[in-house]
Amino acid sequence: MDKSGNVGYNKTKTKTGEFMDAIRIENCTFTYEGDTLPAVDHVSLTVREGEFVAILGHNGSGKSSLAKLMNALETPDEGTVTVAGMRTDETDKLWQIRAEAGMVFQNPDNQIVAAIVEDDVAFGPENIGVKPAEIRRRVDEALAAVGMSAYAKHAPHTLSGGQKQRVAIAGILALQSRIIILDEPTAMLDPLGRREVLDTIRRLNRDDGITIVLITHFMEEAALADRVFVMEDARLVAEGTPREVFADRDMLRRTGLTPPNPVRLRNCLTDEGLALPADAFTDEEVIEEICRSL
Amino acid sequence: MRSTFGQYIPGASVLHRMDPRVKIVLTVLYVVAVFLTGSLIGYAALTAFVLTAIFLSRVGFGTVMRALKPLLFIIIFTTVINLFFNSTGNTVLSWWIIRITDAGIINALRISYRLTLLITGTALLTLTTNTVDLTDALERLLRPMKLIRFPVHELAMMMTIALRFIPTLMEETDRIMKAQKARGADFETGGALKRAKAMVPLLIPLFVSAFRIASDLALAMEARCYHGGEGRTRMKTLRLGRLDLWAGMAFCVVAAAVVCDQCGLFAFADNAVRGLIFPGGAL
Repeated sequence: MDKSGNVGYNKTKTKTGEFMDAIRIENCTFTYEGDTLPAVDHVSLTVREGEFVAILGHNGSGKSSLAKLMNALETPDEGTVTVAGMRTDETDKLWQIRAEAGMVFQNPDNQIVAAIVEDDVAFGPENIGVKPAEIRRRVDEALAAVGMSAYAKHAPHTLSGGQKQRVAIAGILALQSRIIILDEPTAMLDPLGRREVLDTIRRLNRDDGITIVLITHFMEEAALADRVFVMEDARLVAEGTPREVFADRDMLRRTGLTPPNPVRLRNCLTDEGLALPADAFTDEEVIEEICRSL
Repeated sequence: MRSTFGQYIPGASVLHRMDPRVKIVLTVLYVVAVFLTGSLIGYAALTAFVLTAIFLSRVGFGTVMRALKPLLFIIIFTTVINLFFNSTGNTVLSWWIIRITDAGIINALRISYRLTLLITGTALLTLTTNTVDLTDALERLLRPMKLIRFPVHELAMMMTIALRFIPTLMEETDRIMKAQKARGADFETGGALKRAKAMVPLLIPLFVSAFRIASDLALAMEARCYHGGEGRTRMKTLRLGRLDLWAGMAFCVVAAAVVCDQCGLFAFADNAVRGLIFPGGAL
């Protein structure tokens, strides 16, 4: 507890005076039952609290399995996963871990439990036995935070994909999670829904300091993150800021990931002999660099 | 015209605002009362009760009557059976093998009216209570059954999920149907057997898809700390209000009338009315 009496772990410092890591994965290996090859192979990574990280990779690269390790839906065969200071293999901490690190899944339809939006948002806190009046308060707050208050009494099937994903995010906020893990949340959405979801998670990260782990195969989405991890064949093959990762052309070619459009333009122009710095990656930066070099 | 039986009509009437638990309990007691009574006074009391309820529900008399439609056949069938196959009482009409007696007429009227009361009364429950509230109320009412290890919470959760996924599975059916049509499947022509066979390529993918949804949902529920009914709370609490008290009292009056009637307290009135209808004095 800090001086203001806040018990939120994000305010808590460890004995050495450093801030605690939100998620720490140490040398983890995980194989699904019946499989011979591991889905996650000796992966180590750390997500600091309040950080927005993206995990990039193709289908089958092990990024979704990594997500399941992060909130104790699966436990590693080797190595350890620590979420907000709690190890996921300690079974008595299971519900605390899942309340701390909420998860949004790819299919917006298959994760909504109740037939009314506000009842679905209440599902999480109901499960951990929060008092009714407190659940009501949290649900109203969570729906307001994702801009879905007007839809509180609607039936989920009448909402758009983007709205459903925002309801799913509200369901996690109602659990007062400080970490949100999103497993390809935009893969089944149209461009508008994708923007709604991305705007929501960026705002939650920026304004409320919520740690975001965004699993995706869209490079444009990864470009929004503070740090990017690239997975390939169950292994972590690259990590760094989006600027660093998108500058590594060999790695991108090897993993078959398509860089965002400005980076592709920059690469093409460099190949044609135009001298551009290798780390420009936003539309504005690339335009500016091109103008300067002409 | 579509039947309204089992449908919910949104509204803010007195009946809509009542505690769903009270509505369920009163409906059950009402059904018992309908079966218990056999006299005109009893029917009059219950009719007055149900008419008042229909008026207060503001869903419209016609809407409630339309709920009778799918059960019209059963009503007519039982009426006819009672009319023709009753051999007691005085013969009123006799032709070929058909013999209609006054007791038969009374019985037929009684049965058909009883069914009408039964259906309109229970239809009012579903017309004024949405399925979510109904499920919630059932879970709470059945809670004591937990003592004999009846899985109340699990049953309620299954009902909630089933209700939630009806539209999702409908969309899925539509999607699969279109996909199969695009591959040349024909769902519309041919006899009953051919059409039933044509459903196979629809049902199998639908089943597979239902299992996939179930597995996704189970994972999502676990991720949100679901671990059964143990230690679970609910956001929406039900509280009995003044409305429920009034409804309960109104029903008590009706029930008292029915019970007194059954004990023979109103026999004189009943006999007087019957005397008017059948001057012969058969019953």
